[in-house]
This record gives sequence, C-alpha cells and structure tokens, in this order.
Amino acid sequence: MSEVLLEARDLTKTYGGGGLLSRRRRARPALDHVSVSVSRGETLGLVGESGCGKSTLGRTLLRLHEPDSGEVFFEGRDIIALSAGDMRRLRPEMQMVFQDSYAALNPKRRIGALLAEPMRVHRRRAGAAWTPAEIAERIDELLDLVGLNRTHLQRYAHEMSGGQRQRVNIARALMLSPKLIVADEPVSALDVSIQAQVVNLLVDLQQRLGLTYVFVSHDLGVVRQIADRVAVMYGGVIVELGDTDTVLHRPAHPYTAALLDAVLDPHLPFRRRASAPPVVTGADSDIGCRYAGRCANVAPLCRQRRPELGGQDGRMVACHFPLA
Amino acid sequence: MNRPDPRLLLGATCLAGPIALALLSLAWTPFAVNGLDIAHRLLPPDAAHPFGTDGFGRDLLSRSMAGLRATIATALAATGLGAAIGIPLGITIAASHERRSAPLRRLADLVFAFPPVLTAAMLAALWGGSAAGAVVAIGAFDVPVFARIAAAAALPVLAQDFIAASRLAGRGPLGVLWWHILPNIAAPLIVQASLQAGIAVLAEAGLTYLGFGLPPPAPSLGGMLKDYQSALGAAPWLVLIPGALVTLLVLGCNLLGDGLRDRLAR
Repeated sequence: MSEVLLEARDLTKTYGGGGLLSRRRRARPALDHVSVSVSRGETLGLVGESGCGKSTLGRTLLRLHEPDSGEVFFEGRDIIALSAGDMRRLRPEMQMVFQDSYAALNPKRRIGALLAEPMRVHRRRAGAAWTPAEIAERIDELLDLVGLNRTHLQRYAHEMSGGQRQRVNIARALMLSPKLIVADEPVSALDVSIQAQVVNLLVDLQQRLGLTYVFVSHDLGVVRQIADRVAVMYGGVIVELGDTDTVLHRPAHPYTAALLDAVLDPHLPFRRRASAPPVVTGADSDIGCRYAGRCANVAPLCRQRRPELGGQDGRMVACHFPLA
Repeated sequence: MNRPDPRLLLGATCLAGPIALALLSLAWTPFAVNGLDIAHRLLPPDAAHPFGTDGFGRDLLSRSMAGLRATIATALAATGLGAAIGIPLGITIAASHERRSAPLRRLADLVFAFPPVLTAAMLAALWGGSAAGAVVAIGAFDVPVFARIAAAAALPVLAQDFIAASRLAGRGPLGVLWWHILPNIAAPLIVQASLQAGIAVLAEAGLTYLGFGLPPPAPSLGGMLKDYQSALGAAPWLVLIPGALVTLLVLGCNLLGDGLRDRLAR
C-alpha cells in the first residue's frame, strides 16, 4: 500500500516565458520546484484556487505538458526522459479524466469509436493482437462498469448529458487498464446531484480495480470524500501536504485555513472570522513567502525568507508560523 | 426542412454542363480535336457544328471539350496539390511553437508575394510550356492559402481536451491530425477548396492565354481566346464560347463555395 507509484521531483514550469520580443518580460512560474509522491492505491487530492498550478501539476505528471526542469518517476522510471515512442508505449498505464466532458470528446466521432480508440491505437502500435470482437467485448465490460449501455455507442457527444459524457470519459480512460488516473476537476462542471454519482463511481472503481488517483479540485467537500492525502497549492508551490483528515480539520497553513473558511460543508469545521483577509492580487512576494501579501498572520520574517515545506507525522507545511 | 440553398443549385448547374462535356471528351468528341477541314472554315454555329468552326475548319465544340478537360484537370490537380501540402503544413504550424514556426510563416508570405503568372513564367522558362508547370505554379500559390486556413481553424481545435485525450491514448501526431483535427476543420477547407478551384480555372485560362500551357495545337480555353481574338469581328462565337465556358466554371465554383460556406457553417 505504501509503495510509491508516482513521484515528482523539483518540477518547474513557466508559461509564456518572455522571448526577446515578447511584451511580458517576467512570467510567474505555474510550478515552482514542486515535489510530491503518490503511493499505489491511494488518492492524492490537489486543491487550491484558480491559477495556483494544480491543473498544470496534474498534466505535467502525465507529461501532457513538458516541465522546464525536474523529474517524474512512474514505477521508478523517469518519464520526462523517455523518448516519444517509449512514452506512447507507457501511456496505457496512466490516463486522465478531464473537467470539460464535452471538450474531451471529439464532436465528429461517435462514442463507440472514441471508446475503441485507445485499444485500436495500441493494437497497431504495440502489436497487441486485439480483434474487433475483443475490443467490442471490452467496451461492453466498461459500459457496464460505468453505468452506460450499448445504445450510447451510436451517439455523438452533444447528444448526451454531462454526467453521461463524464462516464464515457471515465470508461475511455479505463480501456487500457491504467494504474494511475489523473482526474482534473472531473465533477466541477456537473450538477450537484450528478457530482455525487460520479464521485461514488470513481471511489467504487478505485476499490474494484486498485486504481491510484490524483484528484485535482477546488472543492474541498469533494476532496474530503475521495482523497487519502491532500496537497494544498498556492502560487505554484505546495504550501501544505498531509493526511486529508489532519489537513482539513487542523489546517496548519493560513491559506488552507482561509480556503476552509470559504467552504460551506457541515462536515468541516467552520470558523467565522471577524474579517476575511483582503485579496491583494499581484502582491505575491518574490523574496519571502508567496502568501505574505494576503496572510492575516504576516510577520516581517515572512517577507524576508521563503518558508520551505517541512514537518512530520503525515503533515508538511511551508509556513514560518504554522497554525497547528 | 432543408430547402437547398439556391446558390448551391445554381453553382452545381453551372458546373454540371462543362464537367459533363469534359468527361465526354475522354471517350468521344464529335470531330477530331485537331482535325483540319479548310472547306468548312469559320462556320457559325449550326446543327453539324453546334459551336461553329475556326479558321482551319476545326470543330469548336470538340476543341472546347478537350480544352475544358485540360482546364478542369489542371484546376483540380493544382487545388489538390495545394491542399495536400498546405493543410498538413498549416496544422503543423498551428501545433508548433510560434517561434519555431516563424520561418514557415515568413515563407508563406514570400510565396504569396509571387503572383502565379510570374511563377508559371519562371517554370515555363525552366521546363518549357507544360500542363505540369501550370499545375505546380497554381498549386504553389494555393499552398499558403490552405496553410493559413488550416492553421487558423486548427488552432482552437488543438487546444481542446480531446486532442490531449488522444495523445494519452497513445496516438502519434499524424494519427491525431488525420483522425481528430481534419474532421473538425473540414468545413472551412471544403469551402476554400471550391473557391480556390475557381481561382485555378481563371489562372489556368490566363496562363494558357499567355502561352505558358501546353504548346499548340493542344486545345486550351485560354489559348483559344488568344488565337481567335483577332477574329472577334468576323467570327465572334470563336471568342464568346470559350470565354463563356471559363465564366461558367468560375461562377459555378464561387456560387458553390458561397453556398457551402453557409451550409457547413454552424
């Protein structure tokens, strides 16, 4: 259970780095020396506000984005160093479920063809001798698993509901029996009633198939339901990392606490503040703590030295003055 | 519920006649294309020679059919060549980093700067007048046109998650291009292809008018316009008929393109 499946070391990624003629001279990194590991069979939740780098981290872990520097080890192999061909051969092991279920399905292809695509591609590439009948059988098996039926195969993506489409995406991700699934806000675009169904489906599939999840979300309530451990990101770094219960019930980083205050979830502690800290955009410090500009407990040290992620007992925090 | 667009109907009608004549010429023409018959020279249109005869007594209908065949074949080949090179190129440009594709973009601008007539003249000087030269000259002009349309259409498609999902499924770049991108950018490309075919017809007629096509006596619509223009007063049908055929083809292509644009745009 505690065997490491996926480990990221020192990942750095900056978007739109200014070229010689670029107007934007200094871009803030989306990932700033991020290190994190995921054990086999566990669910790691990645939470944080929009633009904190959580989706970038999720996609970089699958090498959908190339990091500027750093390594990603999948079962001990650095996948960033793999050739394009070797990477394609490794693709069946790691799949993704996207936030926008409509954008993740080619509108000009029928659902049946899209579901068959992973197996058809790999039959040709890896010489795996799947017959069309075997592929059809596998599709049937997965439709059953995600709660769809054969009548959906002839449809196009726009002829289905959001929940159905997300089930198709999940089935497609599972076609090649992956070990790891990165779910990037998989339920954020769904109705609340459908959200619960899809989360339950994901939990159920994890138990049945022994999947490992990296679950990206801004919704702490959903993360609490599904994640074993949580990484809280802010400004391209992980500010707090630990067991879900510990982090969400006794937050140590002021940002985690602020996130929790913004959630209305009866299962999470709610502490009414006298006044929320002001949101100061663009005030993130370059030298000290990134959160110093918004932190209610800011001290002079915070603006001078950047806190490193450290700690023990299933919790790490990057703060000079942790709350817990 | 689907009332056909009048422009689609009209465009198809304009094209149907010339295309049928060109196809028929593959198997049969009323008279030999280059058959001289001095006794029946400069006959106005009648039952035996519906388009009349020229100064050497050659049957204008037969020559027009062969000329149409050359024009249509050249236009289709040139448009196909431009599309076959331009579309993959455009998608590659859209998919690659802006800085890396900059030289390709500038190259496209450079090709645009050369009018096809100039390119054809250069090629004719190199190779001598030939149908292939006209195809290459017009096709080369089409490459950046298709590249730009394809790049502009592919850019938003490439950002979609289903492209990432297909990469995750293990598809290589060519497979993604063929299976995912092309079906989603087909509409503007089909419209552009029909418009470019019209331009190619006009360009082919222009090139053969200037003598940069097949050397005589091979019939071509542009060549006929040039040869017979001096007879405009005495035998106006010799100029009006080839001119009308070119007009019909160009008009048909443009109407079809306009109709398709509205039909396919959603």
